[in-house]
Amino acid sequence: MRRHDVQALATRPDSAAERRRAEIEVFLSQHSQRLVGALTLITGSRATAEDALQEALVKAWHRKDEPIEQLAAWITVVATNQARSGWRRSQAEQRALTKVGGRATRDAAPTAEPDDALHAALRALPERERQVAVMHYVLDQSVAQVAAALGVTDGTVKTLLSRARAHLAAQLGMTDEGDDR
Amino acid sequence: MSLDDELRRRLQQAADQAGAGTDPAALTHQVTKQAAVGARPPFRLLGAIGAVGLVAGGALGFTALQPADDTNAGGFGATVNVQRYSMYDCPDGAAVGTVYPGDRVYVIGRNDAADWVEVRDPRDQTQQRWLPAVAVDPDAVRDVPVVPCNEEIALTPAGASTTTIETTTTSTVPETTTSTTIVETTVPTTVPATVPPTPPPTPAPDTQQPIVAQGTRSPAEIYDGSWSSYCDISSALTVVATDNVGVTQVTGSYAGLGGSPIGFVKGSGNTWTATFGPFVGLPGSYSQDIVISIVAKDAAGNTSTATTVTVHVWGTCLI
Repeated sequence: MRRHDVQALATRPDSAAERRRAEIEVFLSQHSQRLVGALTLITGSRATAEDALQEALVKAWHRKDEPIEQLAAWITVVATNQARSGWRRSQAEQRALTKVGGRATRDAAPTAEPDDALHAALRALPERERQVAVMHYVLDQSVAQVAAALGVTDGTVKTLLSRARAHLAAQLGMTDEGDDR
Repeated sequence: MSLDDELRRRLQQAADQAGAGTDPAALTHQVTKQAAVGARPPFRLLGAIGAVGLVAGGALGFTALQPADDTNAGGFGATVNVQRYSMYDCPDGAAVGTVYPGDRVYVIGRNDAADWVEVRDPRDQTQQRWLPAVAVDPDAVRDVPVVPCNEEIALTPAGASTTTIETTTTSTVPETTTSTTIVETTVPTTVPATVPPTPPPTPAPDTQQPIVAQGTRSPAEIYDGSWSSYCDISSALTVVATDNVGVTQVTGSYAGLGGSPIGFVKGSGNTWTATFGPFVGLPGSYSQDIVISIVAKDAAGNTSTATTVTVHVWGTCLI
């Protein structure tokens, strides 16, 4: 956002809300595709991923003391937790069902799965391993960042990552050759 | 390319494909809209009835709650707390409705002990109901006037020119006198100035289920305790259980791992706690989300619907 835009917002009575909106706008313009994709990999549903991200951002909206930019990991965890709840899942399914026969559902277009083997391997992972793997590999979060976001120790994240990595490698027929770990 | 690099490349590619077509502007719009809905303005009542003001909105179609721009002596707008509550026709009377978390109610009075408040039914502002004071802000409750149950408060119907109606009602509670003044509108001659009194409450058996909510567990995963002392841990479970007459028992149950019932112990306030685990001698390959279903019971034997918490149990421990 240009400097004078921010200054203009600051002089308005609802500047706090406007600034938060601007922050979220910038954040989403940079990260929404990757975040929705990451959440889709975790939850298995694009519609659920979008709903969950939306809910998480509404919660982030009220955490005004923290810059949105630093909340990527937190938003991922909140969104994943949102997506886990059964009612949300069924809500999303319900909405998808009502759209059948009408315009295309959100799940229909973008969830082409060219890497079927990878998706199958991900689905076979325990949810926590899948979540940690996606946060680390897709969102480029360090072990410490993932641990902080999940509220667990670095050791737990390392264990989960190691298991996820081994499971994925086995499923995908990949080897550790050339790996420095 | 290392295994990590290859996994990163394929996962990021898959994520970008899965997230393709995301519309940031639409998402921003939805988030802004939802956030705005969540931040509802406070409410107030206009006019005055004693310490409480009302605006008439029709013979019986009253619009009592209005967005606040100032404070009002006596009553106050309140948001119902984290759970649903039954509304009663009197303290300890018959249940006559329900309010839900986030509902806005207008508190117009309280009982002597300040553990019950009289409110306008959010779905029918012409009706007065009683709620346990814990449903709203208990600290603010003491600032509203004491009103006995079935104390009918005059409602001002819509209409005509301005006049003043004054009524004085001496309550059945000694030393409690409520002076009621309406300053707003004339009462058309065909419309009574007061709502007819409701019949006395009929005591009803307690059929209200307790409510158990806000289940938490920490940590979220535990390990086979035989591996090391670091692994020999249990998960602390907590829930908040409430009931109109009091919760007497909270128990947890789950499938697998022997499935022994978990007895919760009452902690501070409405919090109940228990521990889950540790477990030893599990197969090394064991890895399971254990869903613990927690219910509360009250003295009348009413059982809550269950809330669940999930703890992941590993058969190994690498920490």
